[in-house]
Amino acid sequence: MLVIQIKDLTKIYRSGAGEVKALDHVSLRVRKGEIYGIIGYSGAGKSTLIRCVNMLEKPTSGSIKVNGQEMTSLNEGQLRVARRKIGMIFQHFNLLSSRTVFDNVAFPLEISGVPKAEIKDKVTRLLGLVGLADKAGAYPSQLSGGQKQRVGIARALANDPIVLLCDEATSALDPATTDSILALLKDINRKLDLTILMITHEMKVISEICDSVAVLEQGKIIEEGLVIDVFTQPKHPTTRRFVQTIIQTDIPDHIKKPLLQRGQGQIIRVSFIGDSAAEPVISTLVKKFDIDINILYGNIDQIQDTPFGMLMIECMGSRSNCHRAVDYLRQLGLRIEVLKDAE
Amino acid sequence: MLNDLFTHLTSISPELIKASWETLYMTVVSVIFASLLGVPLGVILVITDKGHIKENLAVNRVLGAIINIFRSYPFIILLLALVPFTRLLVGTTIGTTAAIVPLTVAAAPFVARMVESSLKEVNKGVIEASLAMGASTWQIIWKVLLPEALPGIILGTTITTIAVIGYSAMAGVVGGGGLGDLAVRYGYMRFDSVVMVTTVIILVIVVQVIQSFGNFLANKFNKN
Ligand SMILES: Nc1ncnc2c1ncn2[C@@H]1O[C@H](COP(=O)(O)OP(=O)(O)OP(=O)(O)O)[C@@H](O)[C@H]1O
Ligand SMILES: [Mg+2]
Repeated sequence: MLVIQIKDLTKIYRSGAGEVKALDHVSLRVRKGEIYGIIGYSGAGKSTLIRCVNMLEKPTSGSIKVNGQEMTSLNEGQLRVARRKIGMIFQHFNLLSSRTVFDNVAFPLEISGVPKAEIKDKVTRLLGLVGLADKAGAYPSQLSGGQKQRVGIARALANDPIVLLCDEATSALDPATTDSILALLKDINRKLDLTILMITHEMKVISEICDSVAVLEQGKIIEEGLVIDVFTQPKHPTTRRFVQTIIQTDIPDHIKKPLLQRGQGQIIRVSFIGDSAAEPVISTLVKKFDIDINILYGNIDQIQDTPFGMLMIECMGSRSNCHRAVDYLRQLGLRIEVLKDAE
Repeated sequence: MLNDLFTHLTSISPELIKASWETLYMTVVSVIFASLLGVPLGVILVITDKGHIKENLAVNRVLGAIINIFRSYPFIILLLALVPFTRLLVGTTIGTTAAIVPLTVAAAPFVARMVESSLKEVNKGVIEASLAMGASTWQIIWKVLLPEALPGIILGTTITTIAVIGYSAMAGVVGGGGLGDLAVRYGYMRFDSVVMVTTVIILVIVVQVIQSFGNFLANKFNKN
């Protein structure tokens, strides 16, 4: 089931100086229960995109459906009602400084006209969920950044949203706090089966909790897919740059070149994803195809629960045996790239 | 010598007390009416501004211009110019109650501008978050803008109150009485420096007390 469905979304900012096409025919679909990440460099249009979802920004053209409801055709009153079911958290938290933690979380409930007694129960439960039960009476100025974001999360969850929008929710936090907030989001995602759409410029955020990812550049989605696929097989150069900020998918040139020159046999690169990474493929090759294997280079990584890695190996033996070995690896579902054919 | 001073003070003390009450009455009532007028005007100035929740530049410009016109009138001229309006409103043009009309008209634009500047300080992100939660314009005004700006509004009201005390000294022109009027009648016209000095001392104390109380309240509501 689709929670968010965006079609051909275009947003043009017009000002005295001219026009900026912040979004250019963006289409994407977010399924129920998934964490969908959008990554891009500064100015790519990420904030514009996420703010269009709850109409904080009015699209120039295109369609945005949240839970099947077309957002672009709602009138003011309908939009207010629809927004209650779309939670949002912000880079700078945006808490009311004049209200206590409790009253901040109660705010969206007051707005929706929930009775006092019910508010008390709900807020108490939410503060427990985000681990701030003991801070109910504190003011935002007395909290750390991580605690403030927890209040923001509790507030965003108050009206039982169908989707949570996160606009750079961890960008103002230190790495350890970032991890704890990401863990909390993942936890909420699992416990409540809550769909999350988040934008970020940090690949780490994507790799830690997202199921799907879209890469945004100059208002266009240049690549999109499951995180594990995009990480292991990035296609667009920008995507590759992002992926390389946290994992090594390419063999550095200063290592690759001398190895290619020195090597005698067939040199291939094998990429492993998931369980196959653990399989003892190398020894199988040696036994099955009567060749020798020389491991030149390798690394292994993990994205969420999926291990993946890459090996650069040299096959030494007859040319036909080497080719058969490669075919065998391909049959196993491994991604093979022949860097140098056997001599 | 001291004895003389004491006797003299005792003899004018009924007048001093009466004048103090008049000043207090004029000030408090004017500030209340000025706030009733000025706070909504300040709110309208802010929310109709560019990029705000009810952007309407035409309303914003016209209102801003009207407020500026009233703010540029010297009070003494406003006092006289408003005589017909005062008669219409309270039935008389002299006396303490009559003085409240021009005081209110002078203070309201002042309040509007200081409310405007306090509300402009409210974090845009907080307003945006409220919109994202589905808050209506009224809810944003009552639950976000005014509470978040409260410390600033309190300080602004303190300054307004002190300014109104200053203006009220001119109320003698329309027979409004008050401490300023007393000082002018005794001190300036009869060269009675004792009364003059006493009224000044009372005014200084009143201003200090108001400012301290304002600071105290503002601090109490400031959670930053
Ligand atoms: N209100 C606006 N008026 C005019 N241009 C805007 C406005 N908001 C954004 N833009 C422009 O639209 C483009 C996309 O901006 P956006 O804020 O969506 O980028 P972003 O990906 O969120 O960047 P960052 O990572 O820096 O937050 C930029 O070129 C920006 O200058
Ligand atoms: Mg942004």
